[in-house]
Amino acid sequence: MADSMLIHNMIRICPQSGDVLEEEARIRALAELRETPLALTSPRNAYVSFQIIVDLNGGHAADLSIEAEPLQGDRDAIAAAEYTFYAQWYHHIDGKYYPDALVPLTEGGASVRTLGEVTGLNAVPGQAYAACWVDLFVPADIHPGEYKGAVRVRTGNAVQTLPFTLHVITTIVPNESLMIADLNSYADNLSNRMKYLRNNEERYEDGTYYKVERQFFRMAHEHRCLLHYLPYEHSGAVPPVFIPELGGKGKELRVKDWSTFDEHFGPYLDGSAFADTKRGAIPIPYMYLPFNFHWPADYVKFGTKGYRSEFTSVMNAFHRHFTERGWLHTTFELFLNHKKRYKLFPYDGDETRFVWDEKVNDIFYELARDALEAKEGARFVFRTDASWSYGLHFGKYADKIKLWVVNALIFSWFPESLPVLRAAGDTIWTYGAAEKIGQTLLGTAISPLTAILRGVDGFVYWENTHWGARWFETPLGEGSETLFYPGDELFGILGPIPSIRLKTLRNVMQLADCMEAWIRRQPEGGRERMSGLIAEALDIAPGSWWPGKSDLVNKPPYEWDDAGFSEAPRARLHQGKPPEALGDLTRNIWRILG
Amino acid sequence: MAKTTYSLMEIARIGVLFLPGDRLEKVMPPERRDYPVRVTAKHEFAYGDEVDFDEDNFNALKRVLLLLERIDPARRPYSALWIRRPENPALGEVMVAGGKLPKEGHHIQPLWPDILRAFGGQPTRLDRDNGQTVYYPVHNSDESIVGVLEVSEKVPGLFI
Repeated sequence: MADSMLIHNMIRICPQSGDVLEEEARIRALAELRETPLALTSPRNAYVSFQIIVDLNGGHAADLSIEAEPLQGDRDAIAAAEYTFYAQWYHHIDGKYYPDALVPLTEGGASVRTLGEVTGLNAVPGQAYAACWVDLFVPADIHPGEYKGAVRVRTGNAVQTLPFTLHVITTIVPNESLMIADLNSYADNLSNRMKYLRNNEERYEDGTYYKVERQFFRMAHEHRCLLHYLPYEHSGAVPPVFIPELGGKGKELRVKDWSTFDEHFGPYLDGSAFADTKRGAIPIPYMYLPFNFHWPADYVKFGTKGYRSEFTSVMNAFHRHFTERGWLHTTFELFLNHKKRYKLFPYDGDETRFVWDEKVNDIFYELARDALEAKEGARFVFRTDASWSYGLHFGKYADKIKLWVVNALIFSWFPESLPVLRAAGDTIWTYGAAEKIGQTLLGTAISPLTAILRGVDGFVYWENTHWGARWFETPLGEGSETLFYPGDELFGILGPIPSIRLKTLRNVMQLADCMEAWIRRQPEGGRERMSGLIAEALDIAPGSWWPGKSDLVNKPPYEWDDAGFSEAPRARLHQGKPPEALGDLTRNIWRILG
Repeated sequence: MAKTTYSLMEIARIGVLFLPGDRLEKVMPPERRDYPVRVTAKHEFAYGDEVDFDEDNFNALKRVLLLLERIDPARRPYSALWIRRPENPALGEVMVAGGKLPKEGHHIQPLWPDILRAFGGQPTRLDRDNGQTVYYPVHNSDESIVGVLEVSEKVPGLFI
């Protein structure tokens, strides 16, 4: 029969050798891990996760399945339905097999497929180990204290019971995040990249598109992330259900019909799309507006009074409608993503490099001024994604641009920008990409921790649905452009399946949200205290998250070159550190928060 | 009154009447016209970092492209202006795109026989799959060919 064990969630196991894939891990052999009983600590209203590693002992996994018992505490129990089991799917990365995609084995506590079935489909050559990711939700209304639980691995008639303990602390993770973990993508990539949608030309009309898209939003929401789906192409073209129907031209341009737009976005903006998730019916915190260089105003008219009439009247109509609908918990972003490299427009709306393109900020701020400066009603802001010109712009545009999404490296050169933008009441996120599958899981954990260290409001992974056509073998870019995978073709799931990296991000977001809440409760010095704990866990020098300035900043951005970037100072916070450092930090934080 | 329809070739012929070739020659500022040779990095994305335009010239050309796409209300074509790379005329690139980017995208790339024929002065039609592209030479005020207008219909543009 199969021989199984429980291990923590910050390492991954090679399905062929059983070695720990994280080269920096303190323990790299399963035999040593077996000696350590699994003892979990978790706040309430939170997920805690661990893994079941199954040694197949030379056998095959066809009849392998997992079950769970309720956890028992002195005063409460945690129902078995709070477990979700996922089969780990292995991808071929640089000559090794790494698990990343997670295939649900249970839905609402009921088994929908077995670990054996998924392992058979994955067909890793020479597989000696299978693995199951376990999510256990710790409800908000149970008593803190010690709980005992167990999972059972069944192979035919043989059953192995694997016990563990769970220490539940008093802290309750808030449903609403204080930090934005932003998973960006571009409409309508889902329709291009999911076969189920791609093959259905009626997907917008027959409602199937909405259902599938909503599963992505829900999965992001449940993992304390935000799916941020830019609703237009670089050309300015917008898919039909991402905008209301317009009628007329020039000063007669009006919104004719909101019904399609409201059907599409209303459930995200009133929160009803998330009603039965653990975090509840919280409206999405941010959403892109579809406004761009070529919608709703006709770019043929750019620079004329007619362009202003068209842009302004529809922008004001959006503000009125959103206010009337009561969509007051979401911040709506005017963001101009156009890049001149695509030869569709002569300006960079995104990541201005040539400083004369900054006029775009002034032009479009003026066009949208009424909505951006409205004292009441829906909150509309001007957003910029900044890199080359950030150092030139943070002071100049702090009053007009209220959401700054800044290249993480370049932001680290400008600590002095933080108080300037804070004084103007601005929000600051940094942007980068998801960590590659072949890198340590600590790399996935570092974005929320860095946001705590630097005192910013969130972070963006620039693309999160680009899994690649052969994702089930090797995801595109080693998964650096996705934290989801499509469930339709292999598993008949009409939506996404998650990844280990998405689970890791969620776990750290729970921690980061509690840290941020604690910081805000302190009269002073809270961030320094939390930063000190992160630095101690990662064994880095205090302040090393501000690595100093690059010499590049002494030249105009259009003269920056690759050599300058190669030599630029970079913060190295997690590289070479053991993944168990996150466990050290987490235990420390839970001890302080109680 | 019966609707008049126009072939793509006729649309292109009308379009080039209003396309100022001199502006296409100056669509990039002088210091950027040789932008490919400025790139030191090996990766393709770096080329885009060096692209800059003269906004007046670009906008004048873009406006004509968007308008010529509307000559026949019964059609939904898109258009673009191609140039040959001065440092290597075997290569070309889209310099201004209208409603969509052409199927071939925005990168510098080897030119193919149909478009080269248009660069040689001959309006050229290319039927492909279910769609059609026409290539039409664009002249400057000296009557030199400085670019080629592409008008395509039912040919998927580059999704980006």
